[in-house]
Order: sequence, then structure tokens, then C-alpha cells
Amino acid sequence: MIYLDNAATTYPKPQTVLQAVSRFHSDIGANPGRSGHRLSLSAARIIEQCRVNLCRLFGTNDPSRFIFTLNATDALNMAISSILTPGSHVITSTIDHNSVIRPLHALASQGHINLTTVTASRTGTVTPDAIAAAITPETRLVALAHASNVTGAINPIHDITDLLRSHQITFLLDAAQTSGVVPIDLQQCPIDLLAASGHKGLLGPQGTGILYVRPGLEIQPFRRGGTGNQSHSPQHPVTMPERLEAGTPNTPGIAGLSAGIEYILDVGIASIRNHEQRLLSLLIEKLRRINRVRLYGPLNPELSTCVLSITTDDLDPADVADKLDATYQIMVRPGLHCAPGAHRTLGTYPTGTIRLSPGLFTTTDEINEVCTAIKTICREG
Amino acid sequence: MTERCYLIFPSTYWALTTERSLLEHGLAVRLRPVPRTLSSSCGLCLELATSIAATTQELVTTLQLEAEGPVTATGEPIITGGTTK
Repeated sequence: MIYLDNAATTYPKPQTVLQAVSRFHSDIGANPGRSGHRLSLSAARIIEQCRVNLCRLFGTNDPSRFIFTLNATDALNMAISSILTPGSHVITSTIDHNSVIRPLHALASQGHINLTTVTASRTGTVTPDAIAAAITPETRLVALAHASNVTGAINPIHDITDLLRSHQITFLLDAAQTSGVVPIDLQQCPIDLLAASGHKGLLGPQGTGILYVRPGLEIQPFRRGGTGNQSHSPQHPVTMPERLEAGTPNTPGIAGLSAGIEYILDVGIASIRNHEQRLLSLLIEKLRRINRVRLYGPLNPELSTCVLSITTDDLDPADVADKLDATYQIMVRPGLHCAPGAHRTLGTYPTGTIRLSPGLFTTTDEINEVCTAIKTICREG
Repeated sequence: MTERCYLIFPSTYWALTTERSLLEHGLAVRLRPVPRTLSSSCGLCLELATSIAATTQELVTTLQLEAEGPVTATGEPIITGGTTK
């Protein structure tokens, strides 16, 4: 069995992640912080340790600015709906995921905001010049993927951050595809809002995600309710992180997420990036040699996450993916990958592509095996 | 018996963050539910010996921790000059 769908969810997880989730259920199990007894405090400490680990990973020093969410989609919805005032102009791009496009489209179709969708390059990259050309005096927010989930193309976020700071425009970065696999230093690159999934590169369980809100930027709560503090008041607390968190969190998931981040910090993000670049390089090199295979994206591991989209002449991506699974036990993802705009940009709409996304635990032998299987499928038609 | 006093917090986050910071600085503090006589916006407080109240207050100020106190079980400030915030 070969799993090449890490851009959707990383699998397998480190043993420490499984142990952390299991240990929470077997040894702790209580509601974090609310009750003040030892198990409640143990649960609360898990959550706060995870915030500290996030600070270490993203090079920042205020744990209270990391909010736990259900996933990146939840974090993006929270940021988008909490920051925009009527009449705001917002910029996004054609390579962005539906988790950005759909909430923005909903606000635009209600007449709440004006939306500009910048066209990415044929490899899936958005340039600072393209964003600069779309800025108007009313531009309030730029919401952009750090990397395309279809081609892996990484956007130049340092330059984009500089541009937006000079115009005092809020930058919401969708780091779902890059957190844990591409270095992000929030001191060097002071992004306003960063959303990420816990279950992808951060190696946590599904049902976990984060929203980072830079110090000094206060957004309105997306949900309100029990926080375990200021219980006498009908008003939701204004202090972070409670300001943006309410209700019992996914503590077992956060326990696993915390262990996943510790694993990344132990192995080193540079080492993870290096491994994934080697895998992608091999994948590109081998697939390029197959006549009927067409490759999409930067095709340069320096400019990409470990994601590659391909099509095979005359073959439906869904059929190829099905054959890879049924005959070779190789798991990939065909179709539009929740990013139809990216496929329009690549010229692969509406059929889509076959997305191959190796991960931290993929081996070069597995890449060789996958390429052989694709070659055989192409030959047999 | 050692006299005890308390730090109180606006939120669980600050209770746990302060506990971690003070323990890292070698201060013997313990999280517990807030005594009924003290008002607190969060259900947790840090209990400590009155003998380390001054050091604790100094660290709370230096580290910019969101805490009030130390106070006695009846809410009286331990140190002249009021509470830390």
C-alpha cells in the first residue's frame, strides 16, 4: 500500500501522535481548565503546551495569539467573516481553495464586499505585481494560499507581506499546504492572519486547525459561549485566546497536534523539506520520461511543496486513480481538488488532474513503484 | 502553619501561563480553584506562600503576566502599593 494523498491528510502519523491522543483518553479525559481539579488542569496544560509549540514552530512569542479551530476551512471562515466591513474590497487569486473562494463569494454575492480574483501564472504562482495592480483605496484584505494545493507552487509571501504592509492592507495567509513542511517565520514575515490545518503538514489528527492573529489586530468573535472565565457576564471575554474560542475544544485532537508539532521540531523542518524535495525531484524526473504523461506546476522542488499534478493523454484522471488503487494499492486524488480556479488556470478544467502528494514517510522505493505503475497504465491504456 | 496568598487571573490561559513561568523561575506555586471569598473571572488561582509574595509580584510585573495579586484569602493586597495588573 502506497499513500500519496498527504496534501489532503498526512498518513501515517508519528507514533507519538497516536500515543498522545490515546493517553488523553485513557489517563486524562477531563474538560480543560473549567473545573480546577488535577485532570482538568492536565487537559488545560496540554492545550497551552500546544500553543507554546506553535510559537516555536512559527518563530513567534505570544501563545495567546494561536486559536484552535476545526480545520483550515474553519479558521479561514472565522477570519474572513470577522474582519470585513460592508463595502470592503478583497483580493484573492484563481489558485485559491474553495475554503477561501466560497466564503468570499458568498459575501460578494450578498453585496457585502467587492471581490477581485487575481489570475495566477500557468504554474500556479501569484506575483506581488499582480496583487499590486488589483489594489484600490478600498482594499481591506488579501486572502491568499501560501501554496497551491493543485500544483504545489509556493507564493512569494515575504514580498507580498511587504507590499501589503506598505498599503496597510490585512494579509490572510492560507497556510494549509505549507505549515510544517515549508519554514514560516512570523517575526521575519509579519503576516496578520494565518490559517492552517492540523491534519496535514502539522501531523495532527483530523478535526484540528489553527488561526494565528498577530498582536495588535483584534477581530470579532466568530462564535461565543462558555470559556470557563468571566462566567458572571453575558458578554463574551475580550482577552485572547478566549476571545475567539468558546465551548469544549477538541482536547484529544490538540494533544495529538501538539505531539505532531514536537515531532516536526525534533526532526527539523529543513530536514523534512529536504526529504520532500528529493521525493518530488525523483517523481518529476521519472514521470517526465513517460510519453503520455503531462506534468503541471513549477516542476522545480525549490519553488514547490511536495505536490505534483499530472494528466495522461486520453485517460480520465478518475479512471487512472481508480486503477492505481484497485490494481496497485496506490492512493492518489483525482479531480478538481476543491480548487476549480486553479484548474481553469492550468487548462485542466473540468476534468481535473491526478494529484500525487508524497509525504514525510514516503520512500524513494515507493516513488519508483508509483512511476512504474503509471507507466504500465499509460501503456495498457 | 505557612500563611498562604493568591494570584487571580482574567482567564484560564493566563492562569496556566503564569504557573509555567513562575515554576520555571523556581517559585513554589500551585493551581487550585479560587476560594469563594475571592472574586475572579476565571475559576483558577495560584496559591503561594506569603513569604514569596514580593518575589512573585516582581516577576509578574517583569514578565508582563496578566494577574492580580497576590492577595489574602479575603482579597486584601499582600504588598503595600496595591495589586499587580
